[in-house]
Amino acid sequence: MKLNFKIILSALFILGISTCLMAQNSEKTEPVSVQGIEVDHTGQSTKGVTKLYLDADTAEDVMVNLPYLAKEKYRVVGDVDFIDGSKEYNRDSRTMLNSAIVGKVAGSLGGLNINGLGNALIVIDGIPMGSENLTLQDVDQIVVLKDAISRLLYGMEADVPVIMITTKKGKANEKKLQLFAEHGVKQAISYPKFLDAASYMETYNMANRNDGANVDFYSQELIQNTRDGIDPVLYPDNDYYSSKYVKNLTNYTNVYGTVSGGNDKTQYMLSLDWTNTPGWNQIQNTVNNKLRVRGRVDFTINNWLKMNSQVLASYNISKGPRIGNYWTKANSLLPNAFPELIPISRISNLETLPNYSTVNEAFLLGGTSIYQNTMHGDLLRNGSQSLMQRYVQSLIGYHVDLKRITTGLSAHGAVSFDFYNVFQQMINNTYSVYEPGSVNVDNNFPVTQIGVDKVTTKQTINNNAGVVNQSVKWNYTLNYDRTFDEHRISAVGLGYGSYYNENDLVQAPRKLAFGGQASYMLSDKYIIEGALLGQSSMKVKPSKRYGFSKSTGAAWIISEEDFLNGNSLINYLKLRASYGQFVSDPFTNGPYLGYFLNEDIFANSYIFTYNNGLISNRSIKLENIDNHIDWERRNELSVGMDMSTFNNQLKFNITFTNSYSFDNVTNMGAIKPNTLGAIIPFSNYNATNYQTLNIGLKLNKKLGDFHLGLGAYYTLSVAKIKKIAETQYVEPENKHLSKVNKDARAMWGLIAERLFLDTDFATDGTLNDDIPTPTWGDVKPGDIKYLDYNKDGVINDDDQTIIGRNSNNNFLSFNIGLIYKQWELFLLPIMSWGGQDYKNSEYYWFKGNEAKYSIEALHSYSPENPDAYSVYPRLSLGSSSNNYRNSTFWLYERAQFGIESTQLSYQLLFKDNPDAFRMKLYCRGTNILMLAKDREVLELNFGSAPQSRIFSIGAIVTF
Amino acid sequence: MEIFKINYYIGFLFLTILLLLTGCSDFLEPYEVTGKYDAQIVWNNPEMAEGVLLKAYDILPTNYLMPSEFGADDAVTNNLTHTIINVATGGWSSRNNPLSNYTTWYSALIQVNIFLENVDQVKWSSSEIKKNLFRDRLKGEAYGLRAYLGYLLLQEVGGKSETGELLGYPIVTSSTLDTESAKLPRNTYADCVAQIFDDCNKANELLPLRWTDEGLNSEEKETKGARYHNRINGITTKLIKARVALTAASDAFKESGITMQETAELAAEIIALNGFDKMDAKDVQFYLQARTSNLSYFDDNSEVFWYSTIVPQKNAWESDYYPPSLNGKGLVSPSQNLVDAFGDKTGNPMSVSTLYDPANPYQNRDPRLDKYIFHNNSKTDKNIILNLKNGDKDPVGKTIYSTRTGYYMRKLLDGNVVLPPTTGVVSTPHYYVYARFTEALLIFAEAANQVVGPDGSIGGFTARDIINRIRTRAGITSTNYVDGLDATDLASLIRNERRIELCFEGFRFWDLRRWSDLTTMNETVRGLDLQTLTSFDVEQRNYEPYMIYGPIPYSETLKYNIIQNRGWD
Repeated sequence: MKLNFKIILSALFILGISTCLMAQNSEKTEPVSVQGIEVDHTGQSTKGVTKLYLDADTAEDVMVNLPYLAKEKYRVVGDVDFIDGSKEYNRDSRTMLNSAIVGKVAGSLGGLNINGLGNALIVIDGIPMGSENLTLQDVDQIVVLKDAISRLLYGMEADVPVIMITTKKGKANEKKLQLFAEHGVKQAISYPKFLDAASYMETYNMANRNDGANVDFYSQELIQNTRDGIDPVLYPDNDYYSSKYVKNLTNYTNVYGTVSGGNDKTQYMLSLDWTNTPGWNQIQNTVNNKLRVRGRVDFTINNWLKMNSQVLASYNISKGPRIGNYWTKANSLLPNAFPELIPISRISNLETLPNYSTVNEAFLLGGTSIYQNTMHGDLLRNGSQSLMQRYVQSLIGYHVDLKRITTGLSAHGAVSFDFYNVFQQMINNTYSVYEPGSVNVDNNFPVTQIGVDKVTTKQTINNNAGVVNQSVKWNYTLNYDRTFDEHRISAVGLGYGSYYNENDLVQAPRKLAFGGQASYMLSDKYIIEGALLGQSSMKVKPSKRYGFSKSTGAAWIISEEDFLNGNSLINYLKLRASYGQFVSDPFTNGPYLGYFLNEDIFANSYIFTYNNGLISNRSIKLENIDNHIDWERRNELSVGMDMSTFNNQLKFNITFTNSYSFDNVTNMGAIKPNTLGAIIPFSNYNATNYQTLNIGLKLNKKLGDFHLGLGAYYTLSVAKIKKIAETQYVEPENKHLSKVNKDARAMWGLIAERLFLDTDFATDGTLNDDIPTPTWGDVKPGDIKYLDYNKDGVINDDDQTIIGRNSNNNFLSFNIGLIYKQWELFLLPIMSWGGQDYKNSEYYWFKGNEAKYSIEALHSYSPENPDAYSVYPRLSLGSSSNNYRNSTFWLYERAQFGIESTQLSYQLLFKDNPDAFRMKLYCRGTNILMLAKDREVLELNFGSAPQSRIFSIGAIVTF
Repeated sequence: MEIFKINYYIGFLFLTILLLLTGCSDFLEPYEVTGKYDAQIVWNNPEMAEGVLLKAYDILPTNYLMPSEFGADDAVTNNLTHTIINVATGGWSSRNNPLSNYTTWYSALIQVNIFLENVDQVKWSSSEIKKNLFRDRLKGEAYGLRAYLGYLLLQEVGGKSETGELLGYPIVTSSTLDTESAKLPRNTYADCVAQIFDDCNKANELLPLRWTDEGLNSEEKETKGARYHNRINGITTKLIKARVALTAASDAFKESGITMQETAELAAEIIALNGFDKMDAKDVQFYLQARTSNLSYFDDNSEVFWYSTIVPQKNAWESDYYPPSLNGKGLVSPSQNLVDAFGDKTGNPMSVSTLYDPANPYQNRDPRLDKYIFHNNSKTDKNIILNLKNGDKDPVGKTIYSTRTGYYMRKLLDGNVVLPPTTGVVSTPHYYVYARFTEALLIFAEAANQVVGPDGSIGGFTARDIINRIRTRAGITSTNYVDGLDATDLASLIRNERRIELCFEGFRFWDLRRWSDLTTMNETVRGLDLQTLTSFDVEQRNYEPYMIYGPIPYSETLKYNIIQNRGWD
């Protein structure tokens, strides 16, 4: 805790000093044009009516931000996309950062996954960090760096594509006040559907009979009484997804205000953001509040030095009853287990109960000795919990113009401190529940108290749930950019480092890197570029502590050649290619979980006690032997083309990427003999090849008063395992199980043929001889019959084969924009396909006699419904290990079409002075439609809050 | 101009600081690691060095391993998703084997081996005498643990290959292994027995029989005195030897070359060392002897040889095994088969008993029945009468925690434990017993009876006398029945006695296998319908003949060419 205050204090101190210096230095200095790291790239006026925004609008000669330098767009050799934050927000005002990426750039595969290589690295104002504390309203520009040459300078964390974000700052002599307000209604799309108590008991009886019982567990009378609802206390029927417990609609509110401005010497911006999100619970809700403050000052100290300072503070507080997870509880409490509430009027021994506390002065909490934690009890009497997350970040940057040394030379740098902590405050109450006894003549009953009522006001801070981390990151560059006739040269030399610490981390990781990039352009047609970065890692063996990433790229702007120059059809055509070799140390497995040692590793283990507790000594565990790890590597090639045609109305780009990741640090557990015990050796072993094709198409067309903008993006990603640590598969019956040269996202499972029927069994209950024998215990009619894939006469794990792909690998999206006068409509349909998943949650798999049955159980095979193709196999009170395993029986398609966002905006015009006061109103629907073969499965969240459709209205006001 | 200077200074201050930071060459050296050590640190610190051996202890069980009981004929579980049910009913495979602890025992073994490789270089004490005393005792413990782990591995995987060769486990006596050199073949069963015997002998030379201060000087008290209770000791390693010998001499493993004569001699040695003077009725409830603060029961010549540390406040076993009316989960449902094994109080089995009244099946029974099993109308230590016939929670099928057979386990539990929701939780001292005297007696009786018959003497003891002592201790009032048996009938009575005395302690499953008793292995587990007092079938047992021997884990056979036991995939 001490350190965080130090960091904040020092940040404020530096901010203060800088401001003083700035104020002192009041003599008028000429505004200098420093070609800094950040540039105003818009090149467009936003005055008056909003123009249609398409990222195609970014003209080729506009300056764009790239890692540690800025360039005109046509000088870029890599596969890079640019998104204007304000404009994107204007047409689609969802605030999450990834809402500006998903479906809006070629290569996006959902979430922050770009090109199928995993979650992209987020870099904010030159510093790698998480995106969760920034919203789209803060963002000036987003740059997506996809290929090797463009992202290499971010080092080993940029082993995956990079999303580079530049935040907004104040503008000189442009005082501006902006308010964003949005209110939305969230509608739950789907809740789990469980059987009511009577049907539950019937189903349980059936499962029991399927297992061979000849007596019903629940009597017919009990079931009938429950079904008739004659007495909710004696015959309980709890539905935790009914409107008594959960809401179908909830809402949220977001208000964001920002003020900015300044003079030639000093520019400032201050933003305040508040979001309130209540949960779904009807009885006692959890409410989430998030408050953020962000400030930035840019100042020119003299004609060669500029500095900036930023501070961001974010608080997220979630407060509610101490229930843990409502949804998992709702998914496990059986409907007939106990009455949640018992009316006190019916309790015959009320006067003998000591100090009971009621609910609404009318009820006592019901329960049993098995169910001592009830839903009402946990929601109302268990105390409260609040989770607080705090994040503070400060950043100081500087730009030095060194043109006095030589023209085109400048130096830049930044240092950032951030601090994050989470802690949980709890009020730990306990409560008693009451179990009803036998009914007397008046239809009343005595109750037995179970548990203790304890109310405390003492707050407990749960340190175990707490995370505290802080980091310091810095970078500095020396830039050179100059034109000599038809030669354009730009170069950057740089160094950066970081330090990170977290509670319970035995060793704080630190990183250093240094390197550079140079680009040369001839006659505005030919570009070559190269980059080299040396990086350090504490994780690899000492002799390899430094590793080098290198890349090179080239581009040819064909449209500048004489034979195409002036061609009316092709306005712009660029061919580009890049190749890079990366090293990285992303592994956090096994011995690398937060600490790095070589050779043998021993670790503290449990305290061992002997002499009957009188003496204890810590036991020491051998964790790893002979531990020598080298860098992970990746070789990546991209080739692509950018084209603009029909008077720049149609733009097209296509890129193919082959990315070979190898020497991956691999857990060799699959091939190490267990005579080594639990020790798992690690080695640079596995390799996977990723291939991506992404295509972008942008059309910008004006038809009278209508202005149509269309973007279409398609991405295909294929991954193949080239080398993997796996056991030896040499026998004919398991040879096909080798994963080498198979899809890296393959789902391995059994092929279900049908369900067993009575006719498959001999009279003594054994399977007929011609049927391959399943090996997961006895099977009965109604159990799943699998294909004997390897034809060895038995069904076991060797009969698995590839039956699906675990994620959609085709992604197609459209950005449709239409403007008519002051109206603007935006639509974002997204299609994705190619992936599958298993229905294997407890909503589908009922294991044991404590399982809660969902409506899926109604379609099960039973003696009354002996269908070999029933949609659900025989129910059992056992573990059904023959049926509940990954197979085609449980497969569903992830393929889907959805309208992610649709927004209609109206721009109010105030004739007299359109720039002094502007207002825009909008309404938006998020996630309003999904079409899919397995829509019901895809739309169901099990064990977490439901997916929701959101309808919002909002306003953007600018003074 | 002055201001210019300040700005100049500020601007380049950053650059300088940052360049300096980058220049620090030791910035990247691993540092400040707490809780993780390299070999040098560990072996230079005697406390940590001992910790390496203690980790092997830590890996050993401190709870009775119930799964194997659910796989035999003594019990079933009401936890219907327990994988052992699958095993017992025909799904036992080398891929699905909840009884396998192969990796766990090897994890402990590597701790022992690396300790033995380094024990000589550790400076255990500044005094040369104490240093040697410490070293010898610790070495002895390490050999003892290696023998115990060897026994556990041999029990799990010992068996016959496709060609009929009797094999054990891959013997590992070194810690310097890598992925390739760890691909060790299985040693023969005889080699494994020899290795275990060798380790036991080495341990015996170095360890005192029992942990006691008696007759020790102050240096010896400090290094191998009473303060080492709960560590493995000399008498335990003798029992391990006898235990392994009995298995090796039994029907399923008799090609190992070990004889029942040897076994009986090994057991007789233990009996001679321990004597009979302290044999006491209390031994029947050897698990309840920490109720008072007087722990003299655990000293010399008592029932318990080696046990885990006494945990003063524990109720985990009771909350798992108590019947639901006492707020437990009733996880063990003892079988009618087991209940039938208890004779009447005069020592006659049920088949010939004249005292047995089918209408009052629990009257006049072997006193151990009441102590080991909760049945209908059992009276708890708190004087609660259990109603398994018509109660709210305890009868078969009443709740998910109810019995499946009409019985609950009582052995190993402390009736003083009280679980909510009544007044408040009461927890009591608990411990786990690794080795006890009764087993030595039973080993002797079984081996001696086979070699020299009921009345033949080995080491001065006879099988018939030993069995009568056990039964008399249990409260059986007459020896008449035993006295009239011939060798064959006494052999089956000894097996029955073993079943009763060692029930729920993890022996039955493996005993049936070493006896090659496929019939009993496949005996259906029965319960008792208390309304009609007739028995009913609860769970089938479905074992193939090859399942007399357990499997090598399937995953191991995929890693290298290790020989699998016959019949296993």
